[in-house]
Amino acid sequence: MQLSTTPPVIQLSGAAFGYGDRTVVSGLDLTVHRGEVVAVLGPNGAGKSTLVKGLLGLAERHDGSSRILGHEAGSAEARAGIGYVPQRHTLASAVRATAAEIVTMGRTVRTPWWAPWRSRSAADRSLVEESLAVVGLGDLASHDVATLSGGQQRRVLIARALASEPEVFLMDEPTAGVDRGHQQVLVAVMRRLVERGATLVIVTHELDALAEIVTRAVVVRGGGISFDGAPEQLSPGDDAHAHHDDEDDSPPTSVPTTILTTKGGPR
Amino acid sequence: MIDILSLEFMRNALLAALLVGASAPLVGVFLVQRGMSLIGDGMGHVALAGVGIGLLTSTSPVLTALVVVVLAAVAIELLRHLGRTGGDLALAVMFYGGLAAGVVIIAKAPTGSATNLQGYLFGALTTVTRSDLVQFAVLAAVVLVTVLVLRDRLFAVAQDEEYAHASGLPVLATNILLAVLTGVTVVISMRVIGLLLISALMILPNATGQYLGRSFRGSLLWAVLVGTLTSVGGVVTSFYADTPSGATIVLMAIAVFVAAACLVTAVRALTRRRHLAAEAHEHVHWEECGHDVVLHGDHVDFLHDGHRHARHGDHWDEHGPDHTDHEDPTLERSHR
Ligand SMILES: Nc1ncnc2c1ncn2[C@@H]1O[C@H](COP(=O)(O)OP(=O)(O)OP(=O)(O)O)[C@@H](O)[C@H]1O
Ligand SMILES: [Mg+2]
Ligand SMILES: [Zn+2]
Ligand SMILES: [Zn+2]
Ligand SMILES: [Zn+2]
Ligand SMILES: [Zn+2]
Repeated sequence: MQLSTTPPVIQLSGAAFGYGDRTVVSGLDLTVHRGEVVAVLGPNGAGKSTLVKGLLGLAERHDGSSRILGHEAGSAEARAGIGYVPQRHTLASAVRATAAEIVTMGRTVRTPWWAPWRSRSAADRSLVEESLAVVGLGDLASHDVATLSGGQQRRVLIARALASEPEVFLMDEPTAGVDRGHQQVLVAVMRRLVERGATLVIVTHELDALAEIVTRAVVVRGGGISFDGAPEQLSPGDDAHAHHDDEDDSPPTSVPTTILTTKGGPR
Repeated sequence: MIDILSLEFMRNALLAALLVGASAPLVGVFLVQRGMSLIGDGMGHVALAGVGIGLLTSTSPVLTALVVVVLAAVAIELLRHLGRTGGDLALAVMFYGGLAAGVVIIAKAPTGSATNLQGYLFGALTTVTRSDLVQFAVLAAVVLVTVLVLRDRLFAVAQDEEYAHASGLPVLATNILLAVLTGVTVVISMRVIGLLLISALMILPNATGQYLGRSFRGSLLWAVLVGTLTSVGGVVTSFYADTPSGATIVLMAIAVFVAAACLVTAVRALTRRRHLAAEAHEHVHWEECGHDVVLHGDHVDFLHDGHRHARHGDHWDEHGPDHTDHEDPTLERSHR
């Protein structure tokens, strides 16, 4: 292996990320090598998105060091190698935009500052088309994104990341709201990406759907990483939906029954 | 029409209208996209202070307004970027302070007068001079070329600032550039449209474009067409009706918007009458039949072979070729 010659794709040591004077996750040690597929698990509010945003330089680093592809996270060099799929519920804005126009952003962010119009080149356009086709949206390329369903919008965001041809994908819940058929399509796409040398970090609540490609599971809980290892070793206690920590948004242990018994509800 | 063109001031006014009519929607679309539609209005307020300084010092008010507006643009974006609480207050002080200072300075300036002030605020045909026109042409060329070259970046940053930032685009610089372009457009407008009304010409044609276009690009092209036509049409009308040009242009832009909205609604209502049953097909579409689906009002259409099919009782309805985006919920199932 040539791992020693190329720097790790992601290297966190003692890193802490947060917003303003609030540190959300701290003491993060994580080294991810090329070709790994890392699932990031954990309850709502645990700080999974914050971890990803820290890697992107969107959340502040309060401590430690964080490097992507050998460069300081948030630097131009690091950002140039990342494909980000944000955890987003809607793509709609005040003006119309087609799915193809959104995916073209993936090319726009790769244009050099001295030739910003390049994202209209024939090669760029065919990459956009291909990215949409790969996520099964070829037929919807010219549709207004605001009229697409939630799952289709998520696939548009994935296509946008694909179009930017990154070395490492940081995907925040890419399969949330995507139907089972298309989840399988996405898994197949991800497998091909890994075969071509990409590295994937996927925040998810649905490990089962991604089980066949995930090589490593990382659980974020209680303000840090509480598990890091093979997904098979994940004990039920480490699972994303297990209990506690005041900070985390864990499922309540008892459900108030009044709303379920109000008259008018199903009998 | 001939007699209009034989008048020098009208030729100047028409050219100025053409320049601002094309620039305003082109810049405005990104403001609308960012949800900052009214920033152009604030810029207009600030520009008046620049005009005042120009009149007071007997320099070209176009140039002094340009300087003031560019400074304001940078200040606005830096305030937004720093996200300071009180940023809103700072904007209010800047906008209303600029307007008030402008009014006071113009009242005291040797060449200032009430009609003068009204012209700057609401537009006046007779005020466009040769030298103004040359300056406007240069500024408009800067706006047009910049937007043309950087449109993809402006789009990306306005559409999804977080993604653009995460992917390495210079978000702050792009936002400052857009603010400066907004300011420049405000300056170009100050003769025929007026500083208090220019914001309308940045927004209304884009509102019309949203009805007529199917993509960002398509809507924007419509907006530029509508912007130039209403702007030139408004100048002509204002000449014959003897009304302030800016206000006339804005009323015309509103009329076009209403007409477009009615037209599109009427066309959709007419299309609704037609019920097209799809050619018989054996395949039964269902949730996971593998065909792509698209939301269409209260139902979904299934896409295949260039058709959109929707279930209707025992048969399938044709809901248009799959490249049309008739997302209007009123469009479906009017036939019994
Ligand atoms: N922009 C922000 N500014 C301040 N605090 C934030 C911000 N974004 C998130 N937080 C806080 O950080 C904590 C972790 O949020 P984060 O979004 O990282 O959780 P998550 O693990 O991704 O949850 P989910 O499963 O719901 O997506 C939360 O308590 C949240 O309130
Ligand atoms: Mg999250
Ligand atoms: Zn089908
Ligand atoms: Zn069919
Ligand atoms: Zn029918
Ligand atoms: Zn339909």
